[in-house]
Amino acid sequence: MNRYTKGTAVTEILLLVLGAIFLIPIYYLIITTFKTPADAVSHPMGLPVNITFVNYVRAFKAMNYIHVLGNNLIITISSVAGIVMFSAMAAYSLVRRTSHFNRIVFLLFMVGMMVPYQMGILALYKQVAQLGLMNSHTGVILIEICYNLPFSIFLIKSFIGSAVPFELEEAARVDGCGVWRTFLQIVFPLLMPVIATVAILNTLGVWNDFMTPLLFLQSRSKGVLLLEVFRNIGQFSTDWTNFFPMMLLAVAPLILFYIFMQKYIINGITSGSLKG
Amino acid sequence: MKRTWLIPTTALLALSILITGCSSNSTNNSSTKESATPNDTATPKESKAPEPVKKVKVRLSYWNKEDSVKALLQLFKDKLPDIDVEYQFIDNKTYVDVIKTQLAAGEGPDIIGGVIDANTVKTGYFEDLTERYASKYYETGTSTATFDNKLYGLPQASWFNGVYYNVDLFAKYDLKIPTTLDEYFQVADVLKKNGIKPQAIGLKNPNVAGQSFLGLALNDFIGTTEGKKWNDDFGKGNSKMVDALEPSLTTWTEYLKHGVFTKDMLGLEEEQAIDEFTSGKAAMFQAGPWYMETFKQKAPDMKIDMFPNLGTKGGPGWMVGGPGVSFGLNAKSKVKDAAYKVLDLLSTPEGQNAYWVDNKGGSSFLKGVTFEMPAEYNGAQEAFKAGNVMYPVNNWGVAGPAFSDLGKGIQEIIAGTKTPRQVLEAVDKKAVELLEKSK
Amino acid sequence: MNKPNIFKREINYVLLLLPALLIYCTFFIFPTIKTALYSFTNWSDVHPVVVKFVGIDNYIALFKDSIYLTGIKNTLIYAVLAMLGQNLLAIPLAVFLNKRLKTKNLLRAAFFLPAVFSVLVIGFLWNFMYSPSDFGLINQLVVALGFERINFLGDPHLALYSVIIASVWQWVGYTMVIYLANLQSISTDYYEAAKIDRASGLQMFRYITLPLLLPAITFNTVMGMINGMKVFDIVYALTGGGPGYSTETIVSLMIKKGLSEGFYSYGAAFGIVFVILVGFITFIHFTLIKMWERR
Repeated sequence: MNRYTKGTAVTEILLLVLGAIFLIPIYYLIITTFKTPADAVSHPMGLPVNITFVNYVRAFKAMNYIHVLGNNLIITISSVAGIVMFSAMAAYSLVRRTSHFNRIVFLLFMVGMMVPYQMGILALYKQVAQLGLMNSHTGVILIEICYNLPFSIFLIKSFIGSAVPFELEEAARVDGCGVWRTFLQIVFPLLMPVIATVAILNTLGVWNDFMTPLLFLQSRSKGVLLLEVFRNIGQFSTDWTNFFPMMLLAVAPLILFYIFMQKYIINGITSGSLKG
Repeated sequence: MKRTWLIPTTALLALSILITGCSSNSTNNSSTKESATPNDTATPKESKAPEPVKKVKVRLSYWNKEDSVKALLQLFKDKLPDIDVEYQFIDNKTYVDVIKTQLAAGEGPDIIGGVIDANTVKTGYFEDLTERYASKYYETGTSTATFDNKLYGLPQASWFNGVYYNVDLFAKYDLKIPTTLDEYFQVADVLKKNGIKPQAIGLKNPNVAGQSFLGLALNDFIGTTEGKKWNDDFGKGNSKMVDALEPSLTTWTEYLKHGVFTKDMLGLEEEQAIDEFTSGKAAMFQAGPWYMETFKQKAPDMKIDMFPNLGTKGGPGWMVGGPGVSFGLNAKSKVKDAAYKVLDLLSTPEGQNAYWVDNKGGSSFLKGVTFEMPAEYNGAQEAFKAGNVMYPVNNWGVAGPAFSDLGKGIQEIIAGTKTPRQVLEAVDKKAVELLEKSK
Repeated sequence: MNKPNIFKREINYVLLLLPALLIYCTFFIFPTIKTALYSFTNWSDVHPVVVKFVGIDNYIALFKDSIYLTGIKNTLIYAVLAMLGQNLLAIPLAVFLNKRLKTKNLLRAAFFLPAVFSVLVIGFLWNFMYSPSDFGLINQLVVALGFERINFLGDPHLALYSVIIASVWQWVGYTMVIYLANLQSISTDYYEAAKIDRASGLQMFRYITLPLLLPAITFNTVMGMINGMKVFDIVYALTGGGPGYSTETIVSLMIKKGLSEGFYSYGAAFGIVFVILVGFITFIHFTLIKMWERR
């Protein structure tokens, strides 16, 4: 509908300027990682005088990076796989079966969005200990799945309700296909747009959650990157040019992920999921 | 890295079973959940390099970074080959919450630094260590971890804080070491005239604000005979803070009136304050030995000495301090034998020394062990000789957490939103609550 | 279809729901019910075993404590302003970035970028930028422009708003993306018709875009409000609740009282009150949106 007019060009330039200002904090974060402390204090916004990678080498070692990154991948990939599978299954069931029981179940899931998990933390802690899941990745993964289910179910359920035609399933059913096959072979592929959204948002969420690992993983060897960052903010860390690379290293894989997945994100979180 | 893919692969596998099983599914479904569990419990370390000797893992938690116990951990490694001491650093800000959560759930590390108080002991979280260790340590050190004549923690080298000062800056402006608060403010005025911040302080942390006040309060009231009695009574709920400490807290506001501490500093982290001190922008800094390494790293050529915290009346001055962290044994520990071996080693001169190496300045409470005080603390000798080292909060017992309210209240005074009286009343109220809970 | 088949079908629907429900009950519903029960007892770090029923004592004590009212007030200010800030900035941003710009994708990616970072990292980053000391980026700028240093996090009257700014900065792109999705679903026919009627850009926005954005507005404001009420991490990273109590929020006080100080059951009661409060606010929120929709 729009042609590229002069007005659009002006808008574009203004937006580019705005975007540049908007990203200053991130520029600052990145640029500081290459500086010496003195350099960082004397001209915080300038390019580094002598680019130094010493900060990175030190941070890399201090964080035990490769090993801890492995933990992050285990936890994030497993949690997201679990969230996607279980919430898609549950959402499908909740859309196609609207019994009283299911309505109550859905309501319970929605209540979950309103409750900060810190509220029942002691009871949750006891529960995890009783199940023998303390200090294990399994425990953290199950908790991550649990606390991300409500939002994911909500998104997927809205999407199915508005964008997956029931007629298709009817046809499959007439062909003698059962519930599971209908779900897996017909419905699930149609869910891909919303699954992408759910997977991306949860990858960000799980990776960036440090409270759950902090509380439920006691061994350093099992910890995640953000915990390593957190260890180093302790009151005895005063060297903040060493600290900045850690912050960046902790989210670097996520930024890579974002660069590859951005088209799914920025082209809009699936519109069907908005008609809740 | 291979293990990374194990769980998703299992999930996909389970999924593919489901796809094929259009008709017989009830059994398949239950397997989805279960198959996920045994596989990822296998992820922990066990599968790594098989050790020739099976090491017993003992978890030890403390709020100082690994660097501050480096030598100690090395000693454990060298002397206890069959024990793997795993150090768990938890940041000071969340330490108590995290550990208490774990303890409340019947979990937690095997050896725990701190958290030993009347409540946790009464609850039975800690093992009674009296028989094995009590006679080895001086009572002055064990008193903070002793309840009903039973010892629950082993005290490490003492900590203290005083006021570090930049020797060269003092010499440059011909400043004398202050012995009273008035002299301190004279020094501060000279420094300010020359464009130097008298004292750097990270008031963003309420604990720092509280420490500053304690330094003064010890001199003016708490350190006196009457004051010590008041302090004990406060811990028992028999005395109020508002009447006893209002004069001292009002005096403390002199720091604000003289412009030594300003509202600005409420936004300053301790880390940032250190930078001001080591860069010579500020001449003084209240802290203890744990920062010495940092100072030396940041300003290797800087000459540093320390004088005690000051009061209005003069005298030898006071250090805020007491026994260092006490290490207790988790009563629910599953590896008590190994944990005892670790504690045994800690209770030898060698063990004490290994802890001290990274925390130079304090003194050991293990009988027969003495450490030399580094030269950086010459200016504080008088206070040490007079025995003027005390951390009043140690005697507050279950009312201890009220100290954080005191710190926050002092922040409010600095911000100008509360008066000293209002703050002390609020702390009293919190103390009453805490004491009532424990009845 | 015969009966056993229908039965099997229904069972399968239940089985689809089962894994999610099991995990949810184990790690959320069950602990939450327990917490609710605890809130009527005197459970604390000194009474971990002998738990006595004390009725609504904890709830009464809660309403007598002014600090908790401060916490509730701070949380409400944070939630409302952060939610408004995000949405008021995100809607125009989304409308502009929905135009046929050459760098459209780059700009969208840029504005979303802060949402990729952990709140913890964003918190510490802004902590450095807000610092009143020499390397505080923003204050360097302020001083260079000839103004007095601003004590963003140390001034109790400013600290909460400084936290809100950092938070809005982080989430505005996220909010924008949701509006973009909604905008893309609006048929261009509406605008063509409006152009024929010679409607101005502003008029089109007011009478076409805004009403059709209602699903996204509902979603963003409700989620923004709920997440704002639950705020903890960003406050923890920026101010730790200080100076004084000026940035303590409901969740941070819940942790302080319910965990640090050992009043477990009291913390539980506070949690229950909080959930009721959030539920109530969400209900009002939906009612207001429905009223607006009908107009």
